[in-house]
This record gives sequence, C-alpha cells and structure tokens, in this order.
Amino acid sequence: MLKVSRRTFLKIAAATGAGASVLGKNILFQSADPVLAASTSPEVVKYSHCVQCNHTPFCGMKLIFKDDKLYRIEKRSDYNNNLICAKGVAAIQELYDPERLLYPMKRTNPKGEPGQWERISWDEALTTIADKLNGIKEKHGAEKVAFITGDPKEPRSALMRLAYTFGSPNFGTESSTCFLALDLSNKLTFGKNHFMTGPCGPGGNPVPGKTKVAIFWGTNPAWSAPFSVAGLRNAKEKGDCKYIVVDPRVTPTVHTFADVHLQIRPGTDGALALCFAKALIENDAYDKEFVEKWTHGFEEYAEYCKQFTVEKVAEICDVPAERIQEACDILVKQGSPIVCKTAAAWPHHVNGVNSHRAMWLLMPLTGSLDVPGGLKVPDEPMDFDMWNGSPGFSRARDLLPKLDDKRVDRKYVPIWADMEDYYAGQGNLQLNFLPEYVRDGEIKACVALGVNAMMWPQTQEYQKAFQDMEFAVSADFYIRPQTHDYVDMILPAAMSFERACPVARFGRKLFLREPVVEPAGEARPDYRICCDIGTALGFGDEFWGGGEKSEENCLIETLKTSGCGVTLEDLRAASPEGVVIPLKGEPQDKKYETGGLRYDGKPGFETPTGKMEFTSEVLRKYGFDPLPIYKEPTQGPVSSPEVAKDFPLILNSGSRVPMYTHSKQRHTPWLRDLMPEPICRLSPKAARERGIETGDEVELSTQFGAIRAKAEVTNIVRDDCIDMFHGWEQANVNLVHARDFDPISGFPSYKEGLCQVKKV
Amino acid sequence: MATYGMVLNLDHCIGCYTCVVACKMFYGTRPGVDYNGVVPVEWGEFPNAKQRYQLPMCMHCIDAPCVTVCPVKATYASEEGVVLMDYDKCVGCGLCVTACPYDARTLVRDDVTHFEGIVLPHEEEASDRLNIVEKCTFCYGAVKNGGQPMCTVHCPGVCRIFGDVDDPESEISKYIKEKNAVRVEGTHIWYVAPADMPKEFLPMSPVEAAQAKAAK
Repeated sequence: MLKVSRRTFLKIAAATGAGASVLGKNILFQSADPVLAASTSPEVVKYSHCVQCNHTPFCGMKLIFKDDKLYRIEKRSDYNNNLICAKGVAAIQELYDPERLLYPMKRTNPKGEPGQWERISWDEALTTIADKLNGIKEKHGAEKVAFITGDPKEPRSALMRLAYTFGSPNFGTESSTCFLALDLSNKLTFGKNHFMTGPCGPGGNPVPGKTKVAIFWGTNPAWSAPFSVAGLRNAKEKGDCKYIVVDPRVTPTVHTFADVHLQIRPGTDGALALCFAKALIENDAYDKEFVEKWTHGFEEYAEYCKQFTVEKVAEICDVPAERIQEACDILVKQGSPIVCKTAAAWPHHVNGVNSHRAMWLLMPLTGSLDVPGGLKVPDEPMDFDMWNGSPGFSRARDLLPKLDDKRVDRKYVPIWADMEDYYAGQGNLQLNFLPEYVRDGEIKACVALGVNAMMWPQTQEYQKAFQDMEFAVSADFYIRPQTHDYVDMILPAAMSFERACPVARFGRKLFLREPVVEPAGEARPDYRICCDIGTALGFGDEFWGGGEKSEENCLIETLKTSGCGVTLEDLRAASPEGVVIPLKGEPQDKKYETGGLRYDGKPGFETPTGKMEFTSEVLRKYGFDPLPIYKEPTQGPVSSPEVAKDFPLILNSGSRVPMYTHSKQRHTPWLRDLMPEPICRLSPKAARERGIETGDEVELSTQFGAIRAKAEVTNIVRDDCIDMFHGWEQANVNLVHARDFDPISGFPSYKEGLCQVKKV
Repeated sequence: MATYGMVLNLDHCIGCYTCVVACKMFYGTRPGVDYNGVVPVEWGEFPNAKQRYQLPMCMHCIDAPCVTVCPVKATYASEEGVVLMDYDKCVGCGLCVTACPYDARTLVRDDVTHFEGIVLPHEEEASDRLNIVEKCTFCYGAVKNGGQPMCTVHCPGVCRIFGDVDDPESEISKYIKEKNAVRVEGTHIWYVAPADMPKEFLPMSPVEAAQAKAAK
C-alpha cells in the first residue's frame, strides 16, 4: 500500500484515475485536461435542498444538469424557503471540489502529528471500527464510546440509533455549544420544548396584523438566514408592529427592522429584559388573568425586577437611558402579543440560561403564549425528533432511558442531563467536558460525523482528548488538520446532493430529497455510514444489513414510527412536490387550557408546579436561585477590572458573516474570495487609540494566548468591543477564550472575555 | 420596443453577496473577474452608527464611453439600451477598461480557474475566453428568453427590480413610481436609498464617476 500525505494523494488519485469507474464523471477530479467547449446537450432539471448553513432551513434548490453534470443552481419557486444565498449557490463548488475526501483513510504516523494517511477499503475501515469498538465494549463497557455529530445536523437521528443500539447513551452534538441551552431554558420555564417552539425557531416570527411588538434580540437573520429577510420585511410593511433590535453590532437586521436599536454591552441582555418586565408590570401592561391563573412565582419575580430601573440598566448595558425608555414605552403602549426572536448567541455567557429566561418570560408576562401573533405552539405535533428522524427510529424513547445512568455528563451539569426529554427523542451529551471525560477514562473512543475541534474554547484540550482516546474515527467532506491530526481514521462523507436522508420538514409538510448525483469517489451518505458501522458491529437486523439501501430503509422506518401516515412511496409519488399532513381537528390557541401542553393531557404546563414558572422549581431543587437573575460576565470590565487594565476590550466572537458558516466553506473559492483571511473588527476610536488601520496585521491577545488577524476598522462594533469570526485554522479565536461555563447548561462563554489588540 | 433598466433598492440590501456569487456561477467567470460587487459604506457614530452597501456594476450608460472608444466595435449597445460585448470581435486592447467611469470591465489576462487545472461544468464557456474584456450583460440572453438577470433572481433582500421601463405596466415601472426611485442620470440604473445615506455614497452619473475616477 502506498503511503502518502494528503497533497500527494490527490495528485496520485488524479494520475491513476482512481475512482474513474463512478459515472465516468471523474474528469472533474483529474487535473489533466480542461473539459472542452460548452455542451449543447439539453438541460435537465432536478430538485434538492441546501445544507450549506446547517440542516434546518432546507432552502429549496433547482439544479440544472447537462450531460449528468451540475451546471447551475437556482432558487426553487413554490417551495417553503425559496431564496438561496451566496453559500447555497457556492454548493456547486463544494460538490466538485478536488480537495474533497474521497476514500477511507487510516493514519500511519502517531496522532498529534500532521496526518500521514493511507487509503484503505471500506471493508477494512468497517472491520477495524468494529474490532476497536467491540473490544472497548467488552473490556470497559459500551458507554465508553462517544458518538458525536457536528455540522451538518442531518445524520443525528441515525447516529443516535447507532449509539443506543450499541449500548452507549453518550451521543452528543455541536448543539451543546449552540442552541440547546435555549431549549433547556424553554423547558425550565414551560416544561416541554414543543418542537422548536422556542423563539429560536419559526415560532418567534412576528405575524402581520397580530403581533404588536417584535424584539429581534441577539439575532441577525440577514446573515444567518438570508432566505427569511424578505418575508419578515413584508410582514413589517403590512402590519403595525413595532420592532426593537438588541444587538451589540450594527447589522443589516438593525437597518431593516429597528424602530429602536439598543446596542448594548455584550452579556447584559438579562438586565435589559428585567427592565422591560419592570416597565410592563409597573404600568399594568401585563396579562393579569394569565399570570394569576397559569403562572408560578410572579410576586417574587416582580419584586426582583423592581431594582432594574431604566437609569441603572442604561449604566449596566452602556446605552443611552432615553433609548431604553423609548423601548419600554413601545412595549407599554403597543400592548400584546409580543414575540422575542432570538438565536444561539444567548447561552454563550456564564449566565446564559438565566438571561434567556429573563427574555423568554416577557412573552407569558404579556399573555403572548400560544395566541395568534405571539409565540405559537404547533397543533397536533407529529412524532418526529428535532433532526427529522423520529424517537422510534433513533431509539431514544425505548433504549436510551435504560442507559441513562451511564451518561457521563451528569456530575458536571446535572440539570442538563436530568432535563433531557427522552420521550421527545432527545439525547444530548454535554460535550464541553470531553477533556474531563477522556482524562478520567469515562470515554475511550468515539465515532464522529462532521466534527471540528475548533468549536471548543481552549481547543488544544479537546484535540488532546481525541488524541488520548484509544480509537477515534471521523467522517467528513475534507481532511481537516485541526481535528483529523488527532484521530485514527477518516471516512469520506457524501455531500447533500449525493444523499437522501432525512426528509425536509416544514411544519406539516414533508419533502423527499432524492440524491441527484452519485457520491464522489467512495463517499457514502452519513445515514448509510451509521448503518454500515451498525451492521459491522453485529447489529445487522437493526440496520437492515447496511449497504446501498440503507437510506431508503432508514426513511421507511422513520416515516413508519413518526405516525405521520405518509409512506416513502407517497413522498416519492409526490416528489418533487411535498406532502401535507392535514390536522385531524381544528387549530387551537391557548392549548394550556385544553391539555395540549402536557403529556398527561391535563390543562397547564409540564413543569413541577404544572404552571408556567417565573421562579423555576427545578433550579431551586438543584440549589440555584430560582429567579432569572442577572449576573455580570465572569470576565468583563465590571467584574474583573484588574484584568481589564491589560485587556480592556470585550472579546465578542461567534457572530455570523454572510459568506461562511462556522468553520465551513474555507475551501470554497467564491466564498473564500469574499473574506480570504481572518478579520478582527474594531471601532474607529479603538483603532485610532492603537494606531491601527484597516489591513494591518494585528495580534489579538487574552490572558490565555494570542492569535493574529487582519484588522478591519468599522463602526458596526462598539468602541469597547472587538468582533472576531470563528473557525479559522490559522487564527482560531477559541484558543484565546476561557473555559468558563454556565453552571446550568455547561455552555462556554464565547461572547465574554477581555482582550487587547495591537499592531504587529 | 423595450428599454431595459434595473432598480437598486439600497434600503433593502442586506450585504449578503448572493448577487456576486450567483453572477459568478451563471457566467463561470474566472477568479478576479466579477461583473458586480458589494461594498460596505459607513457613517455616523455610536449609538447612531450606520453601515450600508453600494452595489457597483455596469450602469449601462446611455452614451457609453466604452462603446465610443472601442476600435473594433466589439462593445455595442443593444436596441434595449444594454451595453454588450461581442467576444469574437474583441482584441483585448483594454481601451474600454480605461474609459469606463465605473471600473465595471475586466480584461481577462490569466488562464486560471478556481480550482487549479480544473474546469468545472459551469466554467466551460468562460474558460475559452482569454485576452478579451468581460462585463455585466444584464443577463441579456436570459432576459430575451423571458428570464431575469441572475443577480435579481437570487437577491434574498429583493433589492433588485429589472424590466422594461418603457412599459408603464411592468413591475419595474410600477416600482419606480411607487418608491420614487431616482434615475442615475445618463444610465439605465435607478436607485432607492436610505433617507440618511450621505450623497457621496449614492450611485453617480457617468460624468460624476469619471471625475471621481480622474481624481483618484
């Protein structure tokens, strides 16, 4: 067997025409001759959806083929999300990227060194994986193997099925640094997640003519969800809704929507929310009837809010008091319902869950829960899980509860572990303590799909964790040194146009995505990878023997167990159109009155008190303050002034840019050309004080280390903040972030911390 | 007879670059050859700081200097007012590139594609072109077939409206009227701008743009 580095491998693959049998299209992967003159063949139209940002928007795509080659991507009319963005268009380059990983590889040098990779067969890969994992299971127990997904979110239900069938409850995802702390906050407040009802999901969108106030809070859909902006703007133009935008940056969302923009100091959102609550309560602008009948802890909460005066909060948030007063006046005068549209920036603080609760509570306080124009809970929820598998398919409902005592995260984040809703198909190990799990011998191996170690603060500790495992295998589209230098084996994953699972779901409408091209090289769809590994591990019955029919078998099982009443044949017959699953009854508002929000069907909420909780009895039970308390960031100008002397700027990272999703797409030329290098944004004043100009190379340092980036001087950031995008291999901002975690959720504080910037 | 025009609603632009990438896909343009762009501009200070975007492209001038200056008539205006290129005639002299007040033309000099040594399916046509000048065509071919320019099709902010400005019933004519869109004098471009956008950032007429270019 040849032993080659990655670069050389590509050359050899091209020279020998490796994989040339696939569809005869591998001219694209050979570097010899350019394809000649444009074809006059007829255009063939196929349909798919995009997963460039991550799984959930499913923006529709019309794909134009000539001679079996993808020529053009267009938006898809008559589809739920029918506007694609720059990342979606650039998927054409990702599909044909010659640097894609095409074959299973095993390493030939020690982990921790730049990977030397040797091509192996899928048979060898699967046999090795099975031997290693079954060996660890036999010697130490199945729970010592972690199953991890990053981006995309698509394969999660399949990997859960693999984990739980194998016997490990320790399945986790990148969402344990993303939005799942918001999910936890929802559950602490009103008991169940209700299928992404949270303000992070579509439930947070204002409805024209109904919603009176919309607060876009720490979210910038212009760059995180461009497809949604035109619709939201139409809604704004049609209604008489007022918009408050809370964001430390000046974003296109601010200029598109804001009647009032509150450009607050990062991490102070909770204080602002409590100030809004105070204004609503003091002016009798809250829903007394709802509060009296359906909520718990209001007196205590109202008393706590009193200290958050406009003047005090103006000081905490560092914005003019008049602006905050203006926002309070809007809330008081406009009335309800209101919606707060939020995103995953919230939990990236050590007080993230409580800040989010403080914001969330504004909706029930104003009677905006499950009413038209407020935060709507779906009617007759179907039995899909968050990732469009089903609890029946993923086995979270039948197998996971029996494995619960083997979870390794409970001692670090007991509330997180105990509040998991296995019935709803949840199972999310808190991965942020991976270095500790491996150090203590609780995790000894992992199967990872699309994972990037750069997502964690103090990345090097997570890299070491992968390195110290007895065995780690990772599936991906590319060889990514920041992660793969620390694993034993990598598997080539099929990209979205090459795979089928799972279905796309918009509320009660399902779409099938048929693969539109054969996988490149020997890449396999990740659902199939799970079935192939499951079969190799000895669970052939549970995984239908793996193989080419894997995706189809998984879809059949998912649809059957979801109870939606639609079969794969139905979806196929309708394709490319979707299938709508009609409601059995009438749509209902205020389902807390009729039993729709509890598993036992009784009125009320699935909380310890049966009511919507202003003071969380779960938090009280676990020794936390039950109120949605405000706390200063651990690292900040107020709480650590001695650190701020040397590091006076607030390190705000993780916000979105329009051309990249997290660490993805740096391989994609069209997108890379729009931001070729890591950018550190600072305000004109902060730059002037440091003699920095746009384009200068700067060092961004914290107590924990330093990275280098190009300066961009811009007034979209506050004078006391910097804004640094994440996911750069050459300037990984998470290397300079502390491992400070929210004790309730275990989430890292990507939007806290103190730093200094100087010209190199 | 139709006259084609485009409205740029700068109040709707969300700076997402989809127009840029969609154009590159449709034409398979080489690295560095972009028919349009997105340029952030800023004014004001905290807590009233503003960032918006300029959308540079060929403005399809009425008396286009590039047409006048072309020695071989490779650059011409269609009957609908669209400034087009005949690649077969272009000799790559570059006079039009210098003459264009908007720097909206690129002389393609380097035989490169985005992935070294590889031509992707959508790049096949453009990969045949070398030592010629390329530019925005308002997607003339697609438009003549009843389509729309790619930047317009793919704009998530819906900030571009394209059509026949001679037809009072066309979407663009109605839009211009409804939004009080301003015509960029001497061009086929109209714009709608945020009320507070400083004049210096608004689209310029060919005369103003030429002066600005000379001053640089």
